[in-house]
Amino acid sequence: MNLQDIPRVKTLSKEDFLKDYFIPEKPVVFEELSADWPATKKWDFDYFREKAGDVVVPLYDGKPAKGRQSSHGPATKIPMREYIDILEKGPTDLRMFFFNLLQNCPELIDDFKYPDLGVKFFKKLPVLFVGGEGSSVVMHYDMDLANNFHFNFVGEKRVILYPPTETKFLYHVPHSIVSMEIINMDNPDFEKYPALAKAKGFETTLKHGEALYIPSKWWHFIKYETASLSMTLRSLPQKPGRIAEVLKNLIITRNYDNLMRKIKGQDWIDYKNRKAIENTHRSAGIE
Amino acid sequence: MMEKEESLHLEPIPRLKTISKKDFLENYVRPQKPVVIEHLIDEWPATQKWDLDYISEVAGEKVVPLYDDRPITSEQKFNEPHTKMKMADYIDLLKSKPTNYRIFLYHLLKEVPVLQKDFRFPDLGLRFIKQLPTLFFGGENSKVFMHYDIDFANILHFHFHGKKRCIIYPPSESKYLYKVPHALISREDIDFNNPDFKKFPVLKKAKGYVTELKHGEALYMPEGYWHQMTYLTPGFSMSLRATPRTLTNFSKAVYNLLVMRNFDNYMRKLKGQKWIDYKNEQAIERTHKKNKV
Repeated sequence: MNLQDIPRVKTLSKEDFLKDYFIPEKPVVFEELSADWPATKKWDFDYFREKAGDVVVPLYDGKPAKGRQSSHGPATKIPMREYIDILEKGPTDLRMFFFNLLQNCPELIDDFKYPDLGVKFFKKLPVLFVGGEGSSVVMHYDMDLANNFHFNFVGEKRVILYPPTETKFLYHVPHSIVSMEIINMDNPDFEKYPALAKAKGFETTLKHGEALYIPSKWWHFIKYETASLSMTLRSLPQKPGRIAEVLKNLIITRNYDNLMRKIKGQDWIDYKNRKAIENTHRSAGIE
Repeated sequence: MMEKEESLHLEPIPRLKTISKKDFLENYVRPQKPVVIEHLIDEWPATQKWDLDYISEVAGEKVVPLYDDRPITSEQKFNEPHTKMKMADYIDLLKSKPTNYRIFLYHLLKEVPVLQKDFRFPDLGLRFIKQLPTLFFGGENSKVFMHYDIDFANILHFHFHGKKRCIIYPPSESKYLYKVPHALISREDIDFNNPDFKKFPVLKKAKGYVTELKHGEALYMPEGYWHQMTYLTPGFSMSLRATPRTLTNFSKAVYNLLVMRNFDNYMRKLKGQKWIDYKNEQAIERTHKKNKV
């Protein structure tokens, strides 16, 4: 894979961040952006077991959605406490995502603050992502085209990013915001998916206390090297064209896709995956 | 004999023959006021061509999802259709008898590209979402329950074939409308054409608008406006959507779409019918509490 390391800084002034990263839409890893947050010291699995152990959380596994299934259904629902027990026991593909701190444990809001980077944050959505060792998140971009600030508190995760310009090489499934789920982006089969060799991306391994800026509409794939817990703070896009695209993603893409699943079932999914390969190979000039 | 003593507080939506871009932005979009423009689309081929027979001819073979006005139950997800049939069969049904089956948010224009040549995006200073024209069909007497749209769009709504009654309320009136929590609807058992004021007394406080939209007329609905429609004859409408103008409303749209909808579907799965019943009780309790009833 053609991947370069994401640049790393200790921290940045507002001016430098806007000029060098935010405005040109380039990713960066901050090693010490959250150094003075209570969360950086306090947040570990024991802490969440204590603060949110009883909250029943939906968990998702690594299996692709089939047939008439909705693409968003959780695999199981258990109290956070039991989930943390599973995580600590060893590898598991169970992940928890988009766990809203404001809704579920508002007292934890005091453990972090919105960084002063000249960016307007969407404060209703501080969300946690948790995954077991070996689990991964399919290559995708976010429907709301947010600028994401991803803070890692527990464990280590490998992150691969691609800019929107590389979409044509990424086996993008039509009517969706994901690459083909069957591709193991950690170690892809280039015989089957040769266009991936042409895509130019970035990578890093995020450790405790580090934060990654993922620009609007950038593709991201995440591999949990160990069980890990992170939080994303988001800033919504403000360019009118992007706003229109967000509403299109949220209103049409998802409804249309769910509808076609309902009407056509597995045929629709197979059709989309066929198109993902055809479209990608055509744009990459591969026969 | 019963005498009707009370009614909803509704004034007619202002009507204009046509309007300039400047006047439209200044007098309606900026202050977020609704208006009916009677001759905005006289030049569109659609205004001459579009009726139910024409749609049946060009799109008759397409399978479409249908909704009726049965109350939402926990068996369904948000906006899940109740059945499906071929467009030609559906139009026969619409024409033959009153039916509650409606189509909505259907991307028919994408499926039947020939229809796209029949209209254009009006030059009114709105930033339209180009991929998003949607069609809505309804049989005589079918109703769309009172709701507002999840995306806080500015909407131009065009009607074809027959007429429909539109009751709309500005977002400021939400507190009087028995809004169901974690949803974008009023209680579905409220008949806005003849409300039960004993059960829903606060409705009397809400100040809204009403109009009967006829073939070829355009209704401008500002961001977050509540709307309830009654098809007085069989017919159909098309909506063009433009993005919200403020970050606040855009943020609300994203929140609804990413969080509210998922949370609601999740609770339906987890708690089933109890969740739906709870929300409906809360709609009354919260509205009455806010209004000290």
